[in-house]
Amino acid sequence: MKKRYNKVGTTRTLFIIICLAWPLLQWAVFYLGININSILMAFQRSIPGSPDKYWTLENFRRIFIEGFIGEEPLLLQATKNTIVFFLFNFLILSPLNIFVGYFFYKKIPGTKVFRFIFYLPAIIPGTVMATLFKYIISPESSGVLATIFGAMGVKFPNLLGSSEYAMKTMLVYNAWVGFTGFLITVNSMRRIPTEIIESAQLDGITPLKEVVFILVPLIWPTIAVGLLMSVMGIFTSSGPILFFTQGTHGTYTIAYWLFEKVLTNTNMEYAAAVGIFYTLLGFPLLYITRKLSSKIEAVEY
Amino acid sequence: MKMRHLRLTKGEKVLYTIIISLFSIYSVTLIFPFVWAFITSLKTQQEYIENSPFALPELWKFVNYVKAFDALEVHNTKLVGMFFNSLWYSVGMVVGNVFVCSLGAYVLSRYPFKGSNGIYHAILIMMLMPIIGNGPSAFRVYGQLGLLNNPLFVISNWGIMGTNFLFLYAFYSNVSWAYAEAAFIDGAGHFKVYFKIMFPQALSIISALAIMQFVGYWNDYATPLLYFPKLPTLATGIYEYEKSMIRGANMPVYFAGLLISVVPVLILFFSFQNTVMDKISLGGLKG
Repeated sequence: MKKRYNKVGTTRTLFIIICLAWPLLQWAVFYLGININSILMAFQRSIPGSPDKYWTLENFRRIFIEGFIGEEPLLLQATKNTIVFFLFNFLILSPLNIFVGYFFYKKIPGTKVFRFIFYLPAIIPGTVMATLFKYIISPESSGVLATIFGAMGVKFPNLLGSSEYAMKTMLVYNAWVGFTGFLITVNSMRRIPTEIIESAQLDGITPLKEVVFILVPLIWPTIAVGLLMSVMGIFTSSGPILFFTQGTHGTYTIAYWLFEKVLTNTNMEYAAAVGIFYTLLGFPLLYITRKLSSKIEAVEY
Repeated sequence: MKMRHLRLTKGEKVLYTIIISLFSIYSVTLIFPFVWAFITSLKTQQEYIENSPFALPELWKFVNYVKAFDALEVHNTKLVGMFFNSLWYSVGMVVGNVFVCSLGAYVLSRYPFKGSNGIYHAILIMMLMPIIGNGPSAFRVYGQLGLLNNPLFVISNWGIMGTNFLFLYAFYSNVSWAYAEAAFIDGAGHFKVYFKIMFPQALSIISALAIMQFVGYWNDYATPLLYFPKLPTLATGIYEYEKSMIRGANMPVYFAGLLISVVPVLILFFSFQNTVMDKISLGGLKG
């Protein structure tokens, strides 16, 4: 009988212990420890001027009283904006990324150059992209768009300084830097056997039908994973708010609201409760997404 | 197999022309801000204030790039210091994580023991159910461990949760065991088999994962801002400097610093463009 060297022995056991000791310790401290502490914090409140804390449900009460129905219901605003960002990315940017990926897959003239330029926002720091965008749209005399509009006799508005335009401007920014997802779709399309595509082309299929009826079903597992990941990140990706408005002019999102609480070290227990509230809200959302995406059967090839 | 290029119909030719035009316009919008920032970075402060943003500088002041190294200062850290902070943060987060993930994935996939499957499935479940808003708790735990404003912060990332682990677990599960078996017969130990036989085979996938993550951490501003604000990286330093700028600050020098901060990551991307561009996918990584 073949001796299975990785099945038996003290050295084998020792090897396993050595290799897994650190990851398990790391998990115990930085995952389990942090999350258990987060749950405990949600049920605590600090006594002003004292390091002592007391147990309470007050933080959860505040979510509804202050966050959703108070004079300035920031959590309601943040939830609405989070949904707007998510739907914008999901309904507009994701389909557009599939189409962009399609044209790169078809190797239209200039594909290599376009592919490189389109991917730049994923490589260049968000700080730099956001800063440049901010100066381009600045209403001051040094702003590029303000100068162009000024030459036409039109006063360029302060896009990030008004409630009317701030959210819309950030959606435009999201779209501007949001075509990097093409890379995932084009690499998935490249795995499809060329025979399938060629036979469809010989039948005279139009590009739109080719994308909708051939390519999307064939790369569905990739799209489903992407969708799941965007739902997983719905409450955690704060976007460019820090650089643009810091939540002013009605632009808070859940992720930015939580980020700001840690950054300013304020209302930490309340923030922990809000985190748990949205974690619990996220579970059914994830479950529904998984169920819905698995309803569409992946085509094997 | 290469796809044969079928002759384009008239409609497709029109469509492609429209698409190329749209792609060109979008490309210009992405490139233009950098050209504008470059031209602005070569102006004097007076030119920046008084002239049109489209005006070229009278004298191309490349000296602004030298000045930027001295002028951009946050928390007593200048541009070079920010560069080193970005470097230890990115390298520390990535190298430790990839190494621990690789070893953990190898053991869990190739050394079955009571509970190994349980650990793997627990990792999957934890990844699929993200805990939101544990930042306040993390801040306190890091504080108690003395990891705030401390480069040792990177050890918090040296674990086996995350996509790196999943990719490497899939890789080690499918890689041939024949070489390892032969090495064991020749008397090699477990560590030797891992480091001399298995790890080199995984190097291609590990390097792709490492490069992609490196870029992500280099550009990350949220984590450094929250947990080590006194050690500004290029991403957070540029942001904090801009926030603290008073009216009348030398904007051309600031733009020079902004462009300098992009150079390292662009060099990395140019060097490994094919590795990143061809291997990135959500279904898995090509080995």
